[in-house]
Amino acid sequence: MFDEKEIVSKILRGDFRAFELLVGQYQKLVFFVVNRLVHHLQDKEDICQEVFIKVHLALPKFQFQSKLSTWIARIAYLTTVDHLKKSKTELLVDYPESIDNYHFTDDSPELELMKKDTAAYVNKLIEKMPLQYRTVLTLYHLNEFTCPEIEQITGIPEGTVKSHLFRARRILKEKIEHDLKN
Amino acid sequence: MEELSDEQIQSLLENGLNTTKEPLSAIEQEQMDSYFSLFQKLKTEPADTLPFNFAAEVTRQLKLRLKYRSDLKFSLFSALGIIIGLIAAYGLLSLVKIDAGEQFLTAMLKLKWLLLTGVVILSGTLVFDLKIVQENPYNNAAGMDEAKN
Repeated sequence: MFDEKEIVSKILRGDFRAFELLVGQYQKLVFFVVNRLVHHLQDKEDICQEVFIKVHLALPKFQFQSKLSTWIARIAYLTTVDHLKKSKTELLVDYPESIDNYHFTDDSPELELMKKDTAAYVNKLIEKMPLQYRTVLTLYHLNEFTCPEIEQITGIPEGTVKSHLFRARRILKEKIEHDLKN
Repeated sequence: MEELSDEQIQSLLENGLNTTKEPLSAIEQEQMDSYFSLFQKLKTEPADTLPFNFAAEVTRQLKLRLKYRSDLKFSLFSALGIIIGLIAAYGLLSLVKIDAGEQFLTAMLKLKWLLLTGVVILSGTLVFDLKIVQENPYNNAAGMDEAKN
């Protein structure tokens, strides 16, 4: 059984074995967030590493006012967004006017080839979506956070989180239905 | 065609397919099935993963960074100690005998290049250490490939 409070107090006493346990417990959560927001494979592990080092350095300030997982996810999200801003390799605001007008453009040959494996195809479609959609879909469906928790992590108001979620799911469903019929 | 409302979609996600009280039309049922299938796909974990030794590697990196911080603190305090020591020595010598203080200052000025070289070497070593600590010790892409195999 993973006891958050005990692990945190051990880490604060300088126990590196406890820190390794914490990393093992939350590395999937952090990787899911980073993986969806960053496209370059070699950046992903560096960012995950940076996230956990930040977690260790900021741990004395953690007061258990939120779940540890929510707090770590927030650090992961902010570190990734910061990386995107610095690297400028990926657009942070894909649809600055209104992402509600987002729609999928024509399929690339790569996407055409992936249609047989629906799960991989869905993942590829998500990669093409605006950052806000990718974030809420990942945090809600893969990391299983609630909408209020997603608000805590990203700072996006709960109502907007819900509307992004519904809209993202709807356009994904319509795209998949359309493609599988053709 | 009647679209499912956001609330209905959310209820489908939270309660599964067979919990609606009212009977669904064929179109609604088809939409329910599509959404249910989509929710399953959205739960699929990514193919890429972190290397199996990721936790150990992060801990190693963390220890290096903490060691660097402690070395940096030690170096700064040492430098500060030396400067304060030299000023104190000059002050004490000046109090005892003004000429002795002046001689001490002259000697220090003669050694200024040696002192400056020492400071440059110390700073250079610290910057070099920081660079090594911040660089990833192995190729990440290779690490991920290793984890997949």
